[in-house]
Amino acid sequence: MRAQQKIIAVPLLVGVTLATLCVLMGAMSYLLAHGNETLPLAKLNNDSWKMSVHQLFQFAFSFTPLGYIELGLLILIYTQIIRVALLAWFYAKLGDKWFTWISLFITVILIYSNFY
Amino acid sequence: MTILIFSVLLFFFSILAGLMGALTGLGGGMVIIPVLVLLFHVNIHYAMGASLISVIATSSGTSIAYLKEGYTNLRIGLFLETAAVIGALIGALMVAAVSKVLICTLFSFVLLFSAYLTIKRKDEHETFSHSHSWAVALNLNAEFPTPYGRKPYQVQHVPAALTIMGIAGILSGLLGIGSGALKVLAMDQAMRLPYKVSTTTSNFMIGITAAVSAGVYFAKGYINPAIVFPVMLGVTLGAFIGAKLITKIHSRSLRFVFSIAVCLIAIQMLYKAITGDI
Repeated sequence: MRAQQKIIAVPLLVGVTLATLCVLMGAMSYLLAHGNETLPLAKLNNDSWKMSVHQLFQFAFSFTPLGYIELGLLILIYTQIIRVALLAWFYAKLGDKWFTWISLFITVILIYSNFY
Repeated sequence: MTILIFSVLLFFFSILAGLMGALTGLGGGMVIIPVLVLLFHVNIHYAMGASLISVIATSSGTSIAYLKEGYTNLRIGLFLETAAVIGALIGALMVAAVSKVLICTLFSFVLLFSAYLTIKRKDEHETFSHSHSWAVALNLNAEFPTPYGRKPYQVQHVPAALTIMGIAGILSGLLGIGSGALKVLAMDQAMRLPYKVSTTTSNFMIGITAAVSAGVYFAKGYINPAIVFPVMLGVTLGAFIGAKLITKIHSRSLRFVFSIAVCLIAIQMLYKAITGDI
């Protein structure tokens, strides 16, 4: 059990660190460029961020300040998919069929909700 | 107010949210949504999107520490998560169809209920010599660390916990919160797990449930990076600090103060919803 818990903790740490670094880089660039501007609350509340998965990835890899933030957020969310997928792999290796299927089911729901 | 001041203020509120989320098990959303809606007048849908990111950050930040300590029961977490993810998907898909007033009203009641559960809770309850048949079949019984060595526990009422998890999932998707209080309720009161096992397993689960909802919120355009970045950075920092502090501080009085604050916020949200000022 302890080995299994440590296996999940490592990818979580890597994912959170990467996500935080991306968001931090985007945040610094965004604040350097726009920090002194008045908060455009009406614009923030009405801007449409509705994007297809393809557009979301294009924006995340646009290498703009907000793009870096978006990339960090996506890494943070996909880390959750990876941690459940790793558990599926772990239980499959142990030959625990019930928990392999349970983990795979959750992974499928996560993938569906993020890529549908 | 400039963008810099807004971001810095939100960053500090988010540290507090992450810290409280890690220490009380209530989750960062309880602080983030009211701060964004009541203080900064942000659209509640964007506040819920930011809150979901805060929940994932809290879960990720605290899970690392809790997994290493050996409290988290991954088998229970995964099994109950099957109901929570289905609920979260349903809740998140419903969110655009539900009015903001109804969301605020529901959110206020969830806040009040969470505060009540947090104040009422006992630190430990009796131990059982037998466990539910599903727990035996799925090998859910385990041990947890105590100052006197590892202590076994027997899992009770699995179907009831699974039902509560489904409801927690729907609320998570619908309100953009982690539903940590309901998850802890399912494990603490229904399954009769040791409290620390319940809170740490709940912390492990809320990130996965929120990630399901976050996918749908991204698709609907409710996650605005300009609002979310101070939240993500602040909550992650707060959750890391909270996870380090949890073994060193006695959180009973902290839980009480936090619950009172949550009640006041809930009343204010409810008032705004009733008067239509949302």
